[in-house]
Amino acid sequence: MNPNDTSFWTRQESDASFSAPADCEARGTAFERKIRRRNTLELVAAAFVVLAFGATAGIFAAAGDWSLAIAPVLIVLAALFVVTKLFRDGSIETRRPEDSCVGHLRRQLVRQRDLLRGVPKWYLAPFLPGMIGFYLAFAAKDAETVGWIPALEAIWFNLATIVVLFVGIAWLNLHAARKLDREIGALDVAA
Amino acid sequence: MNDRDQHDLYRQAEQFAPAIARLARAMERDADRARDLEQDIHCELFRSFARFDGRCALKTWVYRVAHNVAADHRLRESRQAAVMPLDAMDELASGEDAEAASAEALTVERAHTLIRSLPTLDAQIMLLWLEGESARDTAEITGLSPGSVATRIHRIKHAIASQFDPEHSQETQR
Repeated sequence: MNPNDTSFWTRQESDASFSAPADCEARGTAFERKIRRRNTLELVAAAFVVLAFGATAGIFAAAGDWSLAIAPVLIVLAALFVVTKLFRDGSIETRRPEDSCVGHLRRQLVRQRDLLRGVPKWYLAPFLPGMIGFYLAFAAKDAETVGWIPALEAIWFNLATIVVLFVGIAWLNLHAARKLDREIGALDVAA
Repeated sequence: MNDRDQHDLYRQAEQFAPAIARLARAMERDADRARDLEQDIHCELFRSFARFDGRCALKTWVYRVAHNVAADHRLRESRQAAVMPLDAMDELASGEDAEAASAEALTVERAHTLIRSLPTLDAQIMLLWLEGESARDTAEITGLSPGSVATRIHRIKHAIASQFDPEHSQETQR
């Protein structure tokens, strides 16, 4: 094949035509569908957390265990904070596909990188006080009868698991962000 | 920009419908999803014309929107598929499983395989080159310098020669 002859390519799909504008008005694009799917998923997850931990807090509060009720309330607040931030960040996402390919690709990569970099701060850290507080509150209650050392011995493994899990998720996200950073750097060199 | 202008621009841009269809087929292997991507590009184009300010040619605008929507699609799908750089492309599918197909269909399939295996920017340049766009127009669409585009086109031609006609490629290297 002659590498300068591209007629084999331009002969394909020669009868293609555009979708009717009316179809476009009725049809959401993949981008819009993605945002809608993401928002629904986040709302369902947040609703589950709020209902489950809200009910837990209510049960403890009704029993007069205020120290045990605080941690679930903190988790509910964390879920509300995270979902509000996700919605706010999602709503300021601008769509300008008419920018140059390099500019568009760079913006998408930067957005993804910043999102990944923000995971430890905005999406993991808010849950830590509630999660750790939950176990500490149980330990404090046990400590009243058995003392602090046995009470802490009973929860250390669960606490360590939570910390390791959170650190692991944070590391994976930061690792992915560093990979995107390299891609952005390569794009800058190319441009 | 009023509604009439938006519809007029959309009508004028329809001359690029075949190129957009080829772009969608090249970027997405699955036929139904490729059709979906093609319609997405049409709709993004139609909406974008409400913002068209004439600061670039209609062709540049159309190609930018089309390639960027396809790149977003690729970015979403790229979690599963690996890409390889242009200079590490010695072993691509030979298309032997398509022996029964016509020579042209096989050539197109090989071009698709090559495009899907390239990093996004190189894939965009290869597609624009296949469409017959000049290095200057490709530079304007992609935002790369004309020199960078020319270098990449040279490497793409070499990759095509070695994939489509290995003997020719070896001769040109001697």
